[in-house]
Amino acid sequence: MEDIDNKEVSDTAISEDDELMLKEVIQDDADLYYLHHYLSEVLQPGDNF
Amino acid sequence: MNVQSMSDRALLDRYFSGDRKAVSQLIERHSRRVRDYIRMMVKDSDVAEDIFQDTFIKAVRVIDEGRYTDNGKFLSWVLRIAHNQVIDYFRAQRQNKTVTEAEAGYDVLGTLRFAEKTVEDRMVAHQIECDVRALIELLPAEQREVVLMRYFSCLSFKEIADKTGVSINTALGRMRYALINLRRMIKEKNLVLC
Repeated sequence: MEDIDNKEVSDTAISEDDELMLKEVIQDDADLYYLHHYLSEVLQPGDNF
Repeated sequence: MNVQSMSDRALLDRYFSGDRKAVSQLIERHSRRVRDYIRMMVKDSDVAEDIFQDTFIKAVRVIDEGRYTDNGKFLSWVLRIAHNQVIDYFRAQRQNKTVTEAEAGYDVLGTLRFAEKTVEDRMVAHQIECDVRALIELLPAEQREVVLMRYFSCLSFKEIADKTGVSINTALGRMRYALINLRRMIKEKNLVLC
């Protein structure tokens, strides 16, 4: 079984938290959306922060 | 194996092996995020749909030409293509009228057109990652806490609220202020995320 990146989920499987992120945090702001996506990739679980 | 459970990299490998449908699965998987991003930037559904189509046409062409080298981070790569397509759209619009950067929606995080990454680009990108991590350390404690819990520990907002003793709305508000503050600091440092 191959390793599956948790973020690489089906497009139909947008989680409730993703919805909250879009509606309450990002609020249609393209900059914040891109920043959110960037942080999702940079701050990987297991990294030494 | 069910294609739904395959990684992006595995789907790409399948496409390279001759399964032409695999790339459709990839596009479908990421379509909402890419559409959302484009729509937020151009704020016009029809224009956004055109740019969305152009984005994936270009992505498939680059893949077909063997120029996809982004270490499996397919969504990031497609978002960069989408970003460039939007920049091209606004440049074309400027020939007819003046569009402010605020209208264009890319005044802070992307005034530069993203380029294909070279080895040097990757070194720069790594340095920017380090800089962004340092900026996170400068956030107010309650904002830094929610950023790390969310992105680093992958906690839900309910879990963050429970752990920090606040409501979900407060946790969401702290996350929003954290992103807004990070955006401000990134702008002050003249960083361009890539």
